Amino acid sequence: MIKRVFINILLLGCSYSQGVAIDTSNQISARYGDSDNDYNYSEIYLDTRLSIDRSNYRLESIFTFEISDPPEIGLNEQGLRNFLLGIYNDNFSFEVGDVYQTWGRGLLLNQLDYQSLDFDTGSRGLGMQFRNEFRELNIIAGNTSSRKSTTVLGQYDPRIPNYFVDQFIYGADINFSLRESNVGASLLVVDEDERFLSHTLTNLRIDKSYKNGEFFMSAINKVSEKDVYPLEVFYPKKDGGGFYISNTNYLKDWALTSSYRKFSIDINNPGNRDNIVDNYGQALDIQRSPSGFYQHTFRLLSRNSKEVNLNDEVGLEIQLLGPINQNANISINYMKSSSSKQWYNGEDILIGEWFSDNNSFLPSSRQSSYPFEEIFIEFSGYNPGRNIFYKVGADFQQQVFNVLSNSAEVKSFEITESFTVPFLVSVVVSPLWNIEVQLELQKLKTGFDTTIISDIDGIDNNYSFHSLLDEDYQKNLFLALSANYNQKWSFNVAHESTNSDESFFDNGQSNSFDSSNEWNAMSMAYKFDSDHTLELFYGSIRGGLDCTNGVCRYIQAFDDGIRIDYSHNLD
Amino acid sequence: MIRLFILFCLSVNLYSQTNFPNATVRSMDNKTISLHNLTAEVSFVSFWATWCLPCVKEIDKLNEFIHEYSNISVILINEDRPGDKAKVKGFIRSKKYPIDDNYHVVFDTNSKLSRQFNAQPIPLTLIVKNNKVIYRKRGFYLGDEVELKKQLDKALND
Repeated sequence: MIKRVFINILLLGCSYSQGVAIDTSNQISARYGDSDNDYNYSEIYLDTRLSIDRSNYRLESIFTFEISDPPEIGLNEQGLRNFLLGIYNDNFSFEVGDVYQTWGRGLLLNQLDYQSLDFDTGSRGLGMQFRNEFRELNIIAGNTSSRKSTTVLGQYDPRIPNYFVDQFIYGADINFSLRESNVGASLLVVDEDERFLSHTLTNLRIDKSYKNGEFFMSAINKVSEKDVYPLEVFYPKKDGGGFYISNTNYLKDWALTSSYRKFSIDINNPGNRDNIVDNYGQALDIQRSPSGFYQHTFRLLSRNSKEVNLNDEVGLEIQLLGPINQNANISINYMKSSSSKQWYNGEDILIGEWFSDNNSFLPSSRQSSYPFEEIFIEFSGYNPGRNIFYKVGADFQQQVFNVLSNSAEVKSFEITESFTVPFLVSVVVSPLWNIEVQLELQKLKTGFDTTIISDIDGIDNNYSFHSLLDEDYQKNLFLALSANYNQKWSFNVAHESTNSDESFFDNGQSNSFDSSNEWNAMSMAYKFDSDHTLELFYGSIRGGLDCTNGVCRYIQAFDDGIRIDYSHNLD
Repeated sequence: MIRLFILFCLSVNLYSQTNFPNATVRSMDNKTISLHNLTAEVSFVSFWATWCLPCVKEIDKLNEFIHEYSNISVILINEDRPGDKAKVKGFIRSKKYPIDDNYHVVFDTNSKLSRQFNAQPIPLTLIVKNNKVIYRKRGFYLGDEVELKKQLDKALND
């Protein structure tokens, strides 16, 4: 089948090559890694893009091959990874292959391919778009396969997925433009044969731009029905939903963006809240909430990133951006969220019964409601000569991410609190040299907050905190120096250290915990030309959460090894 | 199979012209626009995002000298998440990007252009002349703007 597709394209390419503009773009990248803790990988990617331009339409193809054994993250591949064939003109497009669509701002459908996180929610099937000045219709039908690593199932490994979901999705999205406004509506059906599941998602949205800002609102409903076959067990229909509102206002050169969200797609008690395997009503991987967190780029802050929980979250976000003077800007961000309910136990904790009360429409600060709060302030700008760029900030975060018990006798919560100061400066030393220094300091507390309630008059409640680390406060430091010469050479050294490692977790059964206290690395890169690079790395990289555009995954440490990255654009 | 594929890539490369496609993108007010309606004889195109520090530095430096070129079109193709549109608009406002008929910020719907140009990792910068890509650069360090300016001058004078 694939061979036939190639031969057809080859013939097509040859037949058009004499009189029509053919455009190709081919890229090869190879990556190799070998470390002391068996974080070894070798992968080669070959991408080719072909575009044939006629006066009134364009034909395009994209083919990606992968040869990996094993890859840095995910499963071994030997052959075609994905492909796309499409025809496009001003009013119509038709695509076959691995289709990625985003409807509206992604609350119902936002398909992504983040190879570095092994997160790919594209659909192998077909996609169509019809549009004119006032209307746009999108249609999609295809198979989506997503995979994850979860501790709910056995054989957990942060690099190799142990949970697989295959779905067939089909639906349509329509968007109308009315002067300064856009109104959209979507319907998507997702069938999962393996779990006898069918999800129906609907979405309505509106955005309006005006002279001094914009307004956006999106509402979603999701109904999940599970067939009783073959176990004859009754599964209730799960009917959830939510909405998101944002508003940006310009005040001269300042911009104030605020957003509110309330999502309750599948509310579950603390006992099975994180069970992605059995909670059949949960939000799907193809759904992404509009903004709800700050996209940190500093190393230590990125590891503390928050993901919006579409299943059960009430959240607020406020961002103020503006210039302080001609050369400097400030960004002030405040985020707060919680679950939509507060959870508590019945009289007998051992039975594990959970009860709940609804919170108000605002995020709660009660520990039994999974509160999260963050304040991030950042200054960035240039010196008057504009040859030095700097960025400095301060970040405060606190979060309850696990409610273990909340009864009349014992209250216990898993918490984290952190304070981080990131700093970066980039200096043009001479016309040929540029130097960059990045320094981050973090004080972090993570563990169990437990209160034993006294039922004897005159005796106070007993409060205790048990750190998950061997110190109450973890002090983290990250320092990186980089020197770049003549747009060709780049030399980097990085140092990261902590006073308190993760050896408390480490039972020797899993390689996902890092017991080091120090990670040092050096690397150099050479650019043969603007898009042809070789990079050599030696050293260690600390593990932890890695987030790309709101999708987060735990990445294991890379311990004392080498990495070689090569990429070449063959244009 | 792989050999056949590589042979195909190399043979087609002989005919390569690196056209800048007339793809559709979204404007700041969510309207669909064709890219060729935004390009001029010489255009500066950059794939960027608000969270990408080298991208932001590149645009800052571009904004320092772009007013010297009245006949160049700037097209900044945003790669932030679609859900961050409100923040992107606020960012552009607070950074005083000089948006006018020759300076455009557009959104890459469904990341189609990013896929087509293999734009990740960003920034990917293109200089386009008569809708043909004549210069391509990935990454940005302070000081690189000198080379960008030189390439723009070369594109205008050749």
